[in-house]
Amino acid sequence: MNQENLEKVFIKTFSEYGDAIFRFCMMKVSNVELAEDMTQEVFTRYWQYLRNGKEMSNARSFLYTIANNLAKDWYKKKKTVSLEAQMESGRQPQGEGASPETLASYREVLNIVEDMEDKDREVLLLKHVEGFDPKDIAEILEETANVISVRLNRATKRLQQKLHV
Amino acid sequence: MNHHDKTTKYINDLKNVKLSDSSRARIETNLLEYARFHSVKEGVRIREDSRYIKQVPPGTSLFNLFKQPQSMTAAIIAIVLLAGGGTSFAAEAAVPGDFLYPVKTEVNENIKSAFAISAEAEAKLQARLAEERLEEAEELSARGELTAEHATELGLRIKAHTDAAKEHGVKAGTDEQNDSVMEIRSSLEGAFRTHADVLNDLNLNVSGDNGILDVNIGSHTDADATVEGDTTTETDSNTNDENATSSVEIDAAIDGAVDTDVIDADLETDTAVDSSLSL
Repeated sequence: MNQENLEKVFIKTFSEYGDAIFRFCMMKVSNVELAEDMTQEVFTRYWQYLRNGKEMSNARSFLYTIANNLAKDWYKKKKTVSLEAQMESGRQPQGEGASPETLASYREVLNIVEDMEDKDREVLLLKHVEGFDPKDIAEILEETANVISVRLNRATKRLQQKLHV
Repeated sequence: MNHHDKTTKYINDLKNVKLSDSSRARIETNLLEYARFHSVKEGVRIREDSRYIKQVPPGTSLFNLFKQPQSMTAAIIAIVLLAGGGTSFAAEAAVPGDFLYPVKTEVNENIKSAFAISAEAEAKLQARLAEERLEEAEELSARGELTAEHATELGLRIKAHTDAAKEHGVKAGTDEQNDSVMEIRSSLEGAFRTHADVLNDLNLNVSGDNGILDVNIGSHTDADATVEGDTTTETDSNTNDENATSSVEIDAAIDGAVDTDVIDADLETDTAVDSSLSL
């Protein structure tokens, strides 16, 4: 595939999965700017694979896998500033050019998940928002399908308790 | 609405987390820029880790550098850096075909030239270098190694040095240093006289009867006298040559032995490297 066609595929993939990857990164790092940087990095690495002509059976899973690995590296390097700490210090998640409404919706949504454990957050997101089945989630998070199923069940129960439903 | 649906709906609100339009546009621009900068190229592999962006092609070694003319300068610099001034000094005795000859002509002499600031100094240096090329030709001739290729190379270098010497001599002349112009001219002529035999050989090799250097020698009348004057020395040199021949033969024998050894060693290392790389 030549440069031009490959660029088209690249940008199409970004339009299709950019938001989803950004969401996943947000779940991981709870910081808009950082999540944006991570999203860009994920797609940069995706391009490196594309240009080398590497075969990819499932670009979507592949993008999540890169994002997950980047998040792991990030956790190793730096202790996360929790969303709670940000709220207490009066800082809101910042997005470049983001409207107050957007920021408000971030806060509202993130309030839902801020008390959840990281592991619960990501499986619930991948299952209910992105529609992955446990087998795909297992692949992305490098766990067994069984572990993911159990984690999903427990996460759902914990959320229900929290919501008093 | 059952419990499960309510939970799902709640989680579904996470879908509102999206890239803002401005961020999306910015990231897209950055990505396209990145994609164009790191365009698709045949045979270029970029690993995730940028430390591996440029991989050394298989089989590259310091010795392979010398097989490519374009790498010669780099190789020369590498030698000078690795071995220090000693190499530079050792190269002074090199003749065409020697390993260090390029160091002598490309490094040492350029350094000398850089230090010859005045036109007069440069002219003297060029005259001296022309004479040095003649001495090298004699040395090769004595060894029996003055091939047509070397003769051509030396002939052209002598012409270049002579021309440069004259050019700088003229410049020095305009500075009213007529004595120095005469000095340069006489030193050039002196050099040509001393090395008349080998000069003749070079002329034959380079351009047949119309030797390139004839054009550059100012006084032909003197040249005749030189030939006469040199007859005695010629006989001496002949006798010397007889002695020299035997030593040349020995040298050639040694050279041959060394050369084949070196080639064998090269081949061995190459195959060793190749096989280890293919594993």
